[in-house]
Amino acid sequence: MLDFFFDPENWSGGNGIPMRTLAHLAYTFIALGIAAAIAVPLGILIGVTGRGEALIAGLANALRALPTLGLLILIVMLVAPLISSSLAFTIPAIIVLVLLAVPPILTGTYSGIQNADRNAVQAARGMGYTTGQILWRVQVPMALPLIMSGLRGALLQVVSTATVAAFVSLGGLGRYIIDGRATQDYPQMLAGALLVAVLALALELLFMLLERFVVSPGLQRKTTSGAALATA
Amino acid sequence: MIVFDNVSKQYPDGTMGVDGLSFTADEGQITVLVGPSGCGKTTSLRMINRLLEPTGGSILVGDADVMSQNVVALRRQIGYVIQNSGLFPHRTVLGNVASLPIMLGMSRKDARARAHELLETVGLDASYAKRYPWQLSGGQQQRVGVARALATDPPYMLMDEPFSAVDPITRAQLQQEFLRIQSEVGKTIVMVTHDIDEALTLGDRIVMLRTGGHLAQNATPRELLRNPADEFVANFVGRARGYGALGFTSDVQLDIQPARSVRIGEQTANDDEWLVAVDDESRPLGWLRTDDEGIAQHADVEHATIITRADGTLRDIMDAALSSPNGRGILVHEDGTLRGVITLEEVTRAIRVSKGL
Repeated sequence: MLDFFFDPENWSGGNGIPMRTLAHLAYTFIALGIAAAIAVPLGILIGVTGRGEALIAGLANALRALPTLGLLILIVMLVAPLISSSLAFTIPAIIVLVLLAVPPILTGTYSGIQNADRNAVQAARGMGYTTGQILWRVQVPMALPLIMSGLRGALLQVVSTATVAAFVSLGGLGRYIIDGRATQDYPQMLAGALLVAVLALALELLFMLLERFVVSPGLQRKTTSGAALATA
Repeated sequence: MIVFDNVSKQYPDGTMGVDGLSFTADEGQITVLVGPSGCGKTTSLRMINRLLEPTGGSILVGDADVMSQNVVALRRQIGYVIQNSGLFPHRTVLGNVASLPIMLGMSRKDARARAHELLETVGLDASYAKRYPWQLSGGQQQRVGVARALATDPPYMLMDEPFSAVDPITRAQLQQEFLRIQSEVGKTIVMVTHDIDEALTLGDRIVMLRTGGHLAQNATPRELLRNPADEFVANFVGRARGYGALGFTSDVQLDIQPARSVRIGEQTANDDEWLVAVDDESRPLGWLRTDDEGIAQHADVEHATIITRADGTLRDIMDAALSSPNGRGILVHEDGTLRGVITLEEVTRAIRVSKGL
């Protein structure tokens, strides 16, 4: 396996590690972006109105239970005949990844909104905040920790599952695994798996850093100034 | 002025939360709604800023019926303080106080300056400005809550059990400071509490409600204690009618006797008698019994003695007499200098006179 990593050929060109990593990241972030664009607004709506929660929770769980590979092949079969370009394989792969990413983001968002401190919301309303002001200035900032952890969960799921894209002859790190298996090149398979794992960990770390910046320290239960707790 | 005119709140299931309630909360005064749980006091409060809407009668804030006013505009002229502070956890203390003024168009700089002033008013040191709510004690959170409600300088304030969630010592302290702040800002305040002692301490007027949202009595604290309207009120006021009722200034003339005093460090006559020890400015420190050497020592002073003002309430004066080692209470002038002493017998005589016995 070490030979695989030390082979300069594996570090350049369209089949090299950098390009495949980029392709992998591209799938991941396109899917995550689409999923967030769907799940965050929907989650906010459910959280604020308190409606459709049971339905969405059930649906989200059902989505989670779907076998990824089976779903991918099903969608390729359904979609491919409709599209004649190379997108015939890309679009199904993205759809599968989006379906995977939506449930954690949706759940995080609506539970974040619902669990936002009721007293704070009530106080804001009583002070004359409009519904929109309550949402954007009080509820969403308070929901951010859960929204962010939903996004993080989705990201990890997508980045590891994006390997299946290779199964329908797309690029990404999954290629090493699929191709390695086809040619019984086990070191290549192992290297592919390792690369996916390292990528996932790196993204996880990056996301944790991002959370630090986005989420108010007031919600992180850490003293920034190291000030001792007052007792009076 | 806030006026309730025959206000009712009926819930969809037919139960009455508030039933035909009428009262007036006067300009610049604290009106306290008090009663047992289920009496509709919080419901009444929330109908003022339309967090709930009345189903009958009318509520006037200023000159206009709340139902005819724009709900957001209405709320923005009414400060709102709730039991668990309701601070925004994601905002610093300063951010909590400054957020509404900034939202309403005040410059950040002015809003922050104003917030700093208000934090000082409510007794919070500048070092708290950058903290987050979870880093504060319950009492401190309530202080920030009061500062936040005052941030836009609204003419009205609604306070829903503002001091209920803190320990008794902090509560008493917050109540006294709140009275001091109110004497400076003079807001028209409606407050809800289930605690009759709090109502008696803070209220200029007490509106007592009974279960089902009926008015039980609308009176000043003194009237409420002297002439409870019926058995319900008498029971609710309960123990406060006894000793607590002495907590009002009385107009009874007291027979205050001159006191024999001695400065710390001075030689005293060795006649085995209680003397009032005073400091260099003639402020009393407590009772002192002369010892064999006849020198007044700081260590010999009975510091447990309560010292109170001669123009104070009968309750404070009685405390002074009761806490004295010899049955005589030490009284002081307004400036803290020794006025004289009063005997327990004289205090009880004054109580009898004040009660017309």
